[in-house]
Amino acid sequence: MIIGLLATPVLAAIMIPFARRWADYIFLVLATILLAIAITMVPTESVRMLSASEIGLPGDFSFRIDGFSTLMLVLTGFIGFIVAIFSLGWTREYTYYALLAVMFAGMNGLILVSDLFSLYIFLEITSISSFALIALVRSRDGLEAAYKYLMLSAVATAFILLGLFILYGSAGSLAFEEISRLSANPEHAGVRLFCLALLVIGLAIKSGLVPFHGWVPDAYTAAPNPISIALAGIVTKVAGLYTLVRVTFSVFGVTPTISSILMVLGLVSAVVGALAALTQNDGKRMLAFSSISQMGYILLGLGTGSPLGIVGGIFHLFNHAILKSLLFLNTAAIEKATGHRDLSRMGGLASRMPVTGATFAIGSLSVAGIPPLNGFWSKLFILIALFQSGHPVVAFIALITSVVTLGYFLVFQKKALFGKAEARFSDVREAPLNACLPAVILASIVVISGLLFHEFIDLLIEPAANVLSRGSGL
Amino acid sequence: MIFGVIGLLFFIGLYALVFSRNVIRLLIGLEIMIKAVTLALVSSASGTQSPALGQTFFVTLLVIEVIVAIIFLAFVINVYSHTESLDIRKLTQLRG
Amino acid sequence: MITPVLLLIVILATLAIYLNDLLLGAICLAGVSALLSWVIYQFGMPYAAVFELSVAAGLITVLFISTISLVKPAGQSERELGLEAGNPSPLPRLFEEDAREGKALKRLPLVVAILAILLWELRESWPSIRYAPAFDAPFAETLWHIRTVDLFGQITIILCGVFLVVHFFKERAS
Repeated sequence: MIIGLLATPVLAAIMIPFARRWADYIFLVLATILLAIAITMVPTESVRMLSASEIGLPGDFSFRIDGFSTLMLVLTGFIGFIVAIFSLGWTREYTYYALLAVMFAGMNGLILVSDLFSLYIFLEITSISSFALIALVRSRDGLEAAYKYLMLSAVATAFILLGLFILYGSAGSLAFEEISRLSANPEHAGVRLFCLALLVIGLAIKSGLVPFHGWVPDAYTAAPNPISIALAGIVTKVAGLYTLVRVTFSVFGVTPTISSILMVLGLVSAVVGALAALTQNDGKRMLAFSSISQMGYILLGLGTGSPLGIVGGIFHLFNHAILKSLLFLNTAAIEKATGHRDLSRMGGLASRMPVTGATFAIGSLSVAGIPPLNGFWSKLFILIALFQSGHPVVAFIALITSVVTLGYFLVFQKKALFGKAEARFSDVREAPLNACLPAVILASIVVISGLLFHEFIDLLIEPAANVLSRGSGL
Repeated sequence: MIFGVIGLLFFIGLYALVFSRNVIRLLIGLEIMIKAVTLALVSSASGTQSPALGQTFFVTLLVIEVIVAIIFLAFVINVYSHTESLDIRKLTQLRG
Repeated sequence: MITPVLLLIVILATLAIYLNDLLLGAICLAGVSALLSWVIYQFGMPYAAVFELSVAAGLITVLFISTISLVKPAGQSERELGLEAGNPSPLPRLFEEDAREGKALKRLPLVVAILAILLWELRESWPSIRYAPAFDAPFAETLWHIRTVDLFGQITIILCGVFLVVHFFKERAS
């Protein structure tokens, strides 16, 4: 099964150049297979280490499966499935689909590793392939975005590697268990903290947290639409946040100092992202800043270290993946219908594009935190956790930021979708099926996971949270 | 002693990345940073129980970084054929 | 014996950035790689050393030089391609008049020298490292049998690079 998750995408990528006309269908089949495999892995009680020999692979390394991993695998598979549907017939270039396949191979690998060097390898695979996908655009903005991404990604890699190798010298091994065993040892703690700082800086760049977020607005905006969906929906989460959380919680262990640092990072990103989103006219750019803000929320929840905070953080991670993919999908549909993304020149499209309008309304209400949608619950948990762990001021700031979030989304909705329909939009039609269907699926998940949030949390979120709580020293 | 050199090299590379305007000089800076990292790997690995593992890491690291350098250079050539310039000021308009 | 070589590495690295001529910079980088390769050999890692020599000092330098040649407009020397902050070139300018690159980069040797002296003063507090000149036999076994996942990673990244380069050069040709 693990072989399936890693080998199938690579095989598909190799196959695609030989079957160029069916590249998009191959990718759809691949995405379905990955999603199916991930779903079968869900009932996972505890941490399991599968060594290579158990699976039948040559080598002496092992994979790690636990509640958090399976959740991320399902999420990755699902967003991949959505992107695959949306990408049907997107472009005639087979390199697009091949690179997408490689990117998913990288992400799956990233979720499954159990030592830091393999983590680096799959992180590089993901970064390089996502850079390639951003750079596929031919516009000048695309080149600028791709350049910024490449530069910052390379710097992040250098930081991560430096932290990694100094740690190797100090700890003698790069396997997760070895390092977490050594964390109890007070010797060389200063070196370990320094290495953790380097790793956090590098991974914060990859996650797009403030003040390392320079590449995010350009990349999300200028990338081809399905890539924006993939980037915002899953790549920054897996390659950035998930890795960051994994390294801090499961490998190093969270101390009160580290918890404060994570919370500060999260709070700053949440506030700056929300404020910047208010001033944007381009729909995708606004969503990019909103993503920065929501990632800050996730880190804020996880940083508290308390069980409720961790549950809230992970739930918000899941919700945000679904929601941002939905919102970017809608923006793509609007762009296809009207030919541009400038919010000041739109109006009243909802009457012509009912599906887009409805799903967009559901999505933005959820991000803003309106009950009973899923975004409301995850934000509520995070706020309560902040309050409970003794940070009422932080909770208050987060609450105000939430109101700001509601503000800019309402503005977006009003400008683009509601209001009087302009005459020049009289021949605007609803988006094609392969854009509507994913939007409807995503919106239904938003509603269902909001209404049935208790069952949802028990099934998916709780196992993940338990894994992280064990690594938390609080 | 060796850590001082590693730190210096890393700093030189970072400095070049921050203050260069020519993309090729940027790439030279990046390569210097990676050399600092490889030096860190080698000095760390020689102190552990299995230097062979360190060599394996080294080989893989170098392969990956070569691919990154190739991709970067291909990108630079692409950018040059679009904008006729190697100046990143022309490429990046600083926005919010 | 290692110390003067390390010092030389730092000097060459500074030169690689400081020089205006990009081609000379690439050659300095090759020099850094060659010296680094020797240092790695002293650490007892012959395979890594030969890899560094052939790949970094060889392959990457060749890539740099070919890129510089590819983007150099016909008829202009490399000197105009590197930014000359103080001496405006008489030929059509490729870059805007802005001395910022010159000033900050020209200060680099000074900054490096100051930092080096600082670090030398603090040398007592650095953790020590020992050089192990033992040559480890099972390198091949480690690479092929133990860390096979690395090979998978290498193949995947190479695939990635191939697709990207194919795409970029298809675009350039069209």
